[in-house]
Amino acid sequence: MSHMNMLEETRCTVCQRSDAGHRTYGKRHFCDEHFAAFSQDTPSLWRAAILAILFAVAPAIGLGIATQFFFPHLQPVSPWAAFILATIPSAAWILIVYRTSRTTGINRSSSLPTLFVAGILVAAAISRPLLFELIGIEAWLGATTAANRFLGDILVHGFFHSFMLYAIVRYLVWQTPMFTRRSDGILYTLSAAWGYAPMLVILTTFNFGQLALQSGSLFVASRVLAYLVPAPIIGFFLGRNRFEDMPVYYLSAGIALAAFLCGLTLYAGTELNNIRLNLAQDGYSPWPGLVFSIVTTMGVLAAVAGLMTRHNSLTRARLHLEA
Amino acid sequence: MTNIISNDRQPAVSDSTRNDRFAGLLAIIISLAAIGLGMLILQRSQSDTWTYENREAGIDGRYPAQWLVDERGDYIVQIRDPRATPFKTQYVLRAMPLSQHSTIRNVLDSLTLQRSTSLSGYRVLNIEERSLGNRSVTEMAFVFVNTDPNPYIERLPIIVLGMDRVIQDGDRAIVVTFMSAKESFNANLPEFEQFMASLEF
Repeated sequence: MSHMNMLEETRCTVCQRSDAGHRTYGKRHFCDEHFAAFSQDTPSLWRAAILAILFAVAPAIGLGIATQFFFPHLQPVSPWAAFILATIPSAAWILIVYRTSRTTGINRSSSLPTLFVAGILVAAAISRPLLFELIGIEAWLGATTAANRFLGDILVHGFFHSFMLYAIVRYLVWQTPMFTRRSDGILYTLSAAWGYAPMLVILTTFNFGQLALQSGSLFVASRVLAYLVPAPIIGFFLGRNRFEDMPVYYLSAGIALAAFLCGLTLYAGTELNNIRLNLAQDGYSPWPGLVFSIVTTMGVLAAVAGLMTRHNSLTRARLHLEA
Repeated sequence: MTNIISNDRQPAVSDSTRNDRFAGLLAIIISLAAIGLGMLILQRSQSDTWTYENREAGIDGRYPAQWLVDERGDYIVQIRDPRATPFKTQYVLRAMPLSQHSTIRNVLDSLTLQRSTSLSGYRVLNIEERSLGNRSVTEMAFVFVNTDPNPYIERLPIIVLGMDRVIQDGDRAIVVTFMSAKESFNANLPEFEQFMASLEF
C-alpha cells in the first residue's frame, strides 16, 4: 500500500486532518480532538427538545380547554391561527438552542438555521405538492378500510416523511466537520423537523381555509408531533453511524422504525378521535389523538435520550475518556 | 466523494466509506419500496366493492367501497361518493309500478316532469333503446345545473350530466340513475357500468 493511501486511511473521519493524532474507534479514524468529542453528552439538547414540545402542545391545549368550557360556540377563525400555533414551538426551539449553546455543550453550528430552512423548503416544495396534491394521499386514506389506512399511514406517510428528514441531514451535514458528536444527529434532525413539521401542518390548514379553535388547534399540535416523531430516531441512527462502522442495513432499520412510529402516531391521532359515546352511538373528540401523540413523542424522546446517554457513557468508559 | 477544501485547509465534506455508500443506497431503495408498496395497497383498495342488498325490493348489487348508502328518500337507495367534488357522483335506484296501460316511456315522462320542477336548467338530451347483456334497457340522458343553496358560498354553478336506465321487471320498472359533474362523467362511467352489471333483481 502506498504512503498516500496510508495517509488517506488514517485521516480523521470528522475533520479529515491526518496530522493531529491517530485514534481509532469502530473502524473509523479520529484526530485527538474529535476522538475526545464524539461521545460527549449534551443534556441541554433534551431540555430544549422537551421545552419546544411543551410550546407546541400548551397553547393548543389551552385553546382547546377554553373553547370547550368557556366559548363553545366560537366560529372557525382564519388559518393564520394555525400559522401562529405551529411557528411558536419552532421559534422556541431555535431560540432555546441558540441561547443555551453559550453556556452548554450544544453545537452552535451555522448549519442549524440552514437545516431549519431546508425542512421548511422540503415540506413546501416536495412533500406537500408530491404527497398531498399529486398522489392525493389523504383522499386515498379517507376512502379505504381501517387496516389499509394503518398500512398506508406507515408505508406511505411514515416512510416518506422519515426519508425526507433523513435525506436533509444525511446529505447536508452528516459528512461535514460540523457533525462532531453523536448527539448532533438528533440536534440537526430535530432542527430540520421543526421546520418541516409545522410547514406541512400550516399548508394543510390553509388548504382547509379555516380553523376551528378547539379541534383545529388540537389537530395542529397532534399533527406537528406526528411529523416530529421520526426526528429523534433518525438522528440517533445517523449520529451513531457517523462515528463507527455499522452494518449496511443500520440506517435503513432506523428509517423503518421512525416510519412505523410516525405512521402509528398519524393513524392513532385520527382513529382514536372516533369515540364511542354509548353502545348505540359514536362520536368525535379531538383529545385522545393528541394525548397519544404527546405520549408517543415524549416516549420516543426519553428512549432515545436514555440510549444515547448510556451508549456515550459506555464508549467513554471503554476508551478511558473523561465525561 | 471529492473533497472540497475550505480556507482553513480542512475538507468541507469527508470521504464516505464503501459501507456508508451502500447504506445510503439501501436506505433510498427500502424507502422507495415501502412507499411503492403502500401506494399499491391503497390503489388496490380503491377498486374494492361492497355489497348492497335490499330484500324488500329484491335487489342486490356491488358498489364502490366507502361510498355512502342512503335509503331515507323517495327511492330504494342513493349511493354517493363522499370524496367527489364539487358534485357528489351518485347512483340512485328506484322501482316504479307499471300498469297494463303504462309504458317505460311514461316512467321517463314522469321523471322528467318531476325533475323539471326540482332541478335548475333540467333538459333531456337523448332517449334510446339499448341492449345490455340479455336485458333490454331504455336509456335517457339528461343535464341540469347544480347550485349550492347557501348564498354565501362563493362557487360557480355546476353542470351535472345524468343518465337513467330503465329496465322492465314484471309489473315494475327498475330505474337506475347515474349523475356526475360534466367534467368527471366519462371518467366515472366505467364504475357505473360495473355497478349496472352487478345488479340482480
